[in-house]
Amino acid sequence: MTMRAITLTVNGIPYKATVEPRILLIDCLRDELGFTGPKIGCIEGKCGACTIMLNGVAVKSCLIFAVQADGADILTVEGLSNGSKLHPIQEAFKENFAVQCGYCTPGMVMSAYQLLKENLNPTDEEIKNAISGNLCRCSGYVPIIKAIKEAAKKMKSQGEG
Amino acid sequence: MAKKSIKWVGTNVQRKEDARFLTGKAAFVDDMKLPGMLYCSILRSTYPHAKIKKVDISEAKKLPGVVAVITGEEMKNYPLAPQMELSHFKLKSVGPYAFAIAVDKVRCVGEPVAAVAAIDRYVAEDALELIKVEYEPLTPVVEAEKAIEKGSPLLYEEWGDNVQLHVAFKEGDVEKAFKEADRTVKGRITEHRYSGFPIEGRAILASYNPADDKLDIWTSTQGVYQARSYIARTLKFPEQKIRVIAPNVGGGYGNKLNWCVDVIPTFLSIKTGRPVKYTENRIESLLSSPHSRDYKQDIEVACKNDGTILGMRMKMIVDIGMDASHRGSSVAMLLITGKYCLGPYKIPNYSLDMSAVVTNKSFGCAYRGFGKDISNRIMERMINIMSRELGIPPEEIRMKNFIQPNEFPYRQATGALYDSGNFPELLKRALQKVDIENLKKEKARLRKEGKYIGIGISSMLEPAGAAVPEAVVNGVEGANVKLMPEGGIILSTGHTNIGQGIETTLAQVVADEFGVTPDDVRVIYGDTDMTPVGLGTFSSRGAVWVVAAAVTAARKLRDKVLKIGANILKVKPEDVDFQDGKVYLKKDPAKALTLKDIARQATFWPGAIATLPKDMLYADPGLDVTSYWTSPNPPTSWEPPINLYTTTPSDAEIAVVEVDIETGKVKVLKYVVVHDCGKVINPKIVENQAIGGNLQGIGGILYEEMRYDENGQPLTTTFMDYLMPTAKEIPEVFEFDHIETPAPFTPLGTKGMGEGGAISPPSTIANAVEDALGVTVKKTPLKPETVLELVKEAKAKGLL
Amino acid sequence: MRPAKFEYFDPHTIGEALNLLENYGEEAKVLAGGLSLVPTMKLRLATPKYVIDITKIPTLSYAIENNDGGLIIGALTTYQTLIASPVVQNKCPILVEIANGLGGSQVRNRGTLGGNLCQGDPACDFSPAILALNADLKTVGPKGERIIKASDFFIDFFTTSLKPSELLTEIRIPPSLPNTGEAYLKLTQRSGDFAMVSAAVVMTLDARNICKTIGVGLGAVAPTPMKAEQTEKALLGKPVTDELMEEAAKLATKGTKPSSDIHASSEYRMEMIPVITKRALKEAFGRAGGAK
Repeated sequence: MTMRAITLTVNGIPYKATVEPRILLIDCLRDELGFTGPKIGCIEGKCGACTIMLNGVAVKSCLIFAVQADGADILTVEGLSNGSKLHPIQEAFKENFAVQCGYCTPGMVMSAYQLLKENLNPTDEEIKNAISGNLCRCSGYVPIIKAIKEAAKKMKSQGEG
Repeated sequence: MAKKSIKWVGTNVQRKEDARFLTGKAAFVDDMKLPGMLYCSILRSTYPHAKIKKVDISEAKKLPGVVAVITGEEMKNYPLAPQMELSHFKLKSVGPYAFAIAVDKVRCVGEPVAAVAAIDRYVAEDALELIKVEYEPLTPVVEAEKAIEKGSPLLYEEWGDNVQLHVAFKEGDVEKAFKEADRTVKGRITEHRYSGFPIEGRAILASYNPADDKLDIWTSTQGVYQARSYIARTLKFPEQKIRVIAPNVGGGYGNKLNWCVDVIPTFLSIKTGRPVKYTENRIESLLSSPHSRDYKQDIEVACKNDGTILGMRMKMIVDIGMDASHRGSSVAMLLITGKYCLGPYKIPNYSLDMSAVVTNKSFGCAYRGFGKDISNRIMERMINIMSRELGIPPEEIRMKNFIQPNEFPYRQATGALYDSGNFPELLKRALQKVDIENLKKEKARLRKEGKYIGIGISSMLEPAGAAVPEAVVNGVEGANVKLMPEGGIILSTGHTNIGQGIETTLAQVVADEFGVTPDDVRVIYGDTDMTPVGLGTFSSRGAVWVVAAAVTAARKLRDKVLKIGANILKVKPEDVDFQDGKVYLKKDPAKALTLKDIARQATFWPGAIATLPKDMLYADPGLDVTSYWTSPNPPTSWEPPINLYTTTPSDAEIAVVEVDIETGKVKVLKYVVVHDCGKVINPKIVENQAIGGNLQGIGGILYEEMRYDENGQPLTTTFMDYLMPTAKEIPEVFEFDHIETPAPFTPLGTKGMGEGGAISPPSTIANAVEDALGVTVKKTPLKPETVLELVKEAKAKGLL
Repeated sequence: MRPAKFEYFDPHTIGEALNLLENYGEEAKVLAGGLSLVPTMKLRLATPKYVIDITKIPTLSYAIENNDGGLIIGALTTYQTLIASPVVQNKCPILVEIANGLGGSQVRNRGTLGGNLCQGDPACDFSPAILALNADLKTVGPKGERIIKASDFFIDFFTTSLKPSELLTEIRIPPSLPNTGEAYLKLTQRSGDFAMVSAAVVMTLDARNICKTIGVGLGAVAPTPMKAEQTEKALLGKPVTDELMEEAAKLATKGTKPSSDIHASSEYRMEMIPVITKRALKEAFGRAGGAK
């Protein structure tokens, strides 16, 4: 089987890897490149814990082969904060107690990031729609929805989005 | 007595844990890597019940990258340790038959039959395809009710039947109660099989160092000490050479209180002398991690026409899958049901006949409830049925039969001691929140428009903080508190953090004891090498046992600090007091020493000999206290009156649903919870855990089902079949409130609440659907098709 | 779980893709958004020796107005592109409605219209709509292009009339008339799940509420998505009323053969066909400007 040399730019820095075609992007990010932020919670792409931004849009990295992402620009949850300074979404999650076990959190934050990139006035329905591909078992989603709404306000007042 | 101004307990301190979860810097087991690490994959049985004739691993061993392959042959000398012994109740043991990898028989689809250690995840899976297993299929045992019939195939031949545990309890005079009753109300309450399935499945990284003969195990578990003992006993490995660490754990809810799968990568690590990581995939999780619920109750309630309950009889069969004593522990549910079957009501006469029946399905273990859910179904569902038969609103029946707030601590007829509570107040507030009288009018008005809403209530009891004799959910709890020379404090506890925020809540508790901030307190946990013995997270016990141990240790240390401070100030201990992090002279508060002053002086500058009172110096000079706590409430043996839990948190929940009578779909319009878990340490943490639990319960009653077909083949093996609620399934309105009736048996009055949320919704929602349609729910889950059958029944009876 | 080994190709032109399909045909699978194929490969239910990733072909993603005023959509157009496209919102709002209902932004960013249709899954969401729209599908193969009517595209359970050497390249929606209402309804347990029963309706009314055109597509009611031809016949040319829609909806069961699975039995689905069809008809009627 032919290995492929690929380049992935992750959180602004290019990385090279040589992979079998069957290596999933999530495994390449986690095992090869050390970005263990995105997580694996299921097989068939239903839990969303693996959500990252690929070329500017949120995707489930467990449903993509690493070779498909050759040349792509990837943002994982590790790329959102700036040193110890949290992104407004991360701040809002913390302030609203929207994290419990933390396992769904990286994927959830990235889905929120996707939403707020395009819409800084989301309704509850729009928020639920945006995160409906991210399963959380601990929180019942209520504080997450609240956190995303407040993140939107924060980002608006900071002129982001 | 030292005074302190309480500042942190009861406030919404933001969680210290969050930054690492939010930035992707929290290491869960699968995030961890060690040099030379191998990956473990497990081949699992495709038969529910079969003899294993042959396992051929020869081809798998040859695959490049495969380092080791094992089968039951190598595991047969290591039978699994028990989680439950319960010899007092004549629990039948699966001891000789339970192995981490099946030896000569498989008893459920998904049971391990071989395991591989390879250099990467992909090769490890490729190797599984090369293993050839020859099975001789046996007739599967799929229905619990058939499993107890004479002539049923047996899972464990030597037992002679398929009943792992049978218990019967009774008190009072049930026959008399039924004779004197105006009416006997009957109900058959069933609940299907489902479970917690945390988003992080089970994961273990076992690292055996052959040079040191030492085992380090990182595992996504709720109990590190039980894990250590279980592995030591099963693998006959010296326990003092095992270290178990629970790093960040991605949810548990009870599903991670079992270690049968941990044995496999641990054994492979010992065999290969290299670290071995096993991460369960979602199919394995659905097939072979603990299952829960799956019971059928036949209940009779003796009552007067005015709603007074005189007695209750229940016969129940629980389907515990292939075992619930060694792989899992849910046989204990029967004992818990035995204690809490009467709920928050005064019912002097009852009898129970309960059987835990084994079938060819995955094993039964804990999932938020562990018998408290079973107990909840009994009266909460029966009151709904009674209400229809008697023509009395269900809330009135509850109010009439509640244990009253001035009757605590209340010795229930079962022997359980309920510590404190105010059931009527909880229900009253919940009814206010839904504006019950107007809601009923609204319901009537909507019916005329062809819209059917229903109101369902549950008054929930969530006994917390168990200690069950002859079980891994037993014992005492330790905590160690240290004061550092520069004034910082470390609390170390054997507890585990599975999402409840213990780094924050325990820091709040200890901070208050010393009058410092939570930032001044660091909590170390979940590591058997670093902490006193702690039993981990289950039974909502953190706020009871762990907080009590922490407070006790902290107070002892504070007392020492006070005495040292007095000694430094050259006064008597009665002349000083402790507040806001300072020891100060009562007569002249300006003369004060901070914790840092005292700690520095007592350690290096000038040191203990110059600072400590003489008696302390020679008896116990360290600024370090370890204290073990045990509950004054439960016993340590089965001598009556037997009480299993320390506290009784409780709540009242009301669901308002709309039933679409054309499709049978149920929509939850409103969900209200009024909660009492005694003194609340961090209100937001409590509220959000309860909401999360509620949605799990809603998922359980409406969407989630772990189903097997008539041949014992599982039908729900992925998240496309097993449907957990997404953000779009939450009730339109969620309202949460709480009251506090402090617990008399814990130092701060805390009670615990981790499980509660998931217990009631199957009752409230079933009750609400019944209220909408006027007929009794026959089976669950309440999928649209199932509810449509009820709609048809209601129509046939002229109720719609 | 992880997939078995395979060889990977990522052609940049349709021609390259067709060559690969010609060479590897039965042993190859075409990869688009990956939402269906990758999970089956991870479960090792599908173990193709060759995977042909067509997402690098730039000419297959577009949604533009056709010469006849209709809509042409490239097969690789993602759900999100459909949602965000003013042309699609204007000319074919049912596609936007369907795309919006599919779970989570991640799915909408990767799922493609062509990929969804080529599955041949009777329960997938876009198929009833393209049947109701009387759409055409353009394929390209070694012998050139073909136009396949939507009603001829789905031939059996998970089987379309696409040949192994062909690629679906375009979906063509006829121009919509004024006073057209479109609606898509699916009965599910959770929002965003696969349909237990689904119905797509495209209805045009004249000023007197007479049904000028009608298309009704059903999903999850048979081994393939199908048109409810009897329902259409009952409505075409008639003044549309609640009673007529109810009667017409009952006819939607004709020719259906729903199956049973753990979510719903065939009997239940059969009972729900008229219910969901009726609701979709009423919704479309309202959107077409029909007054009660």
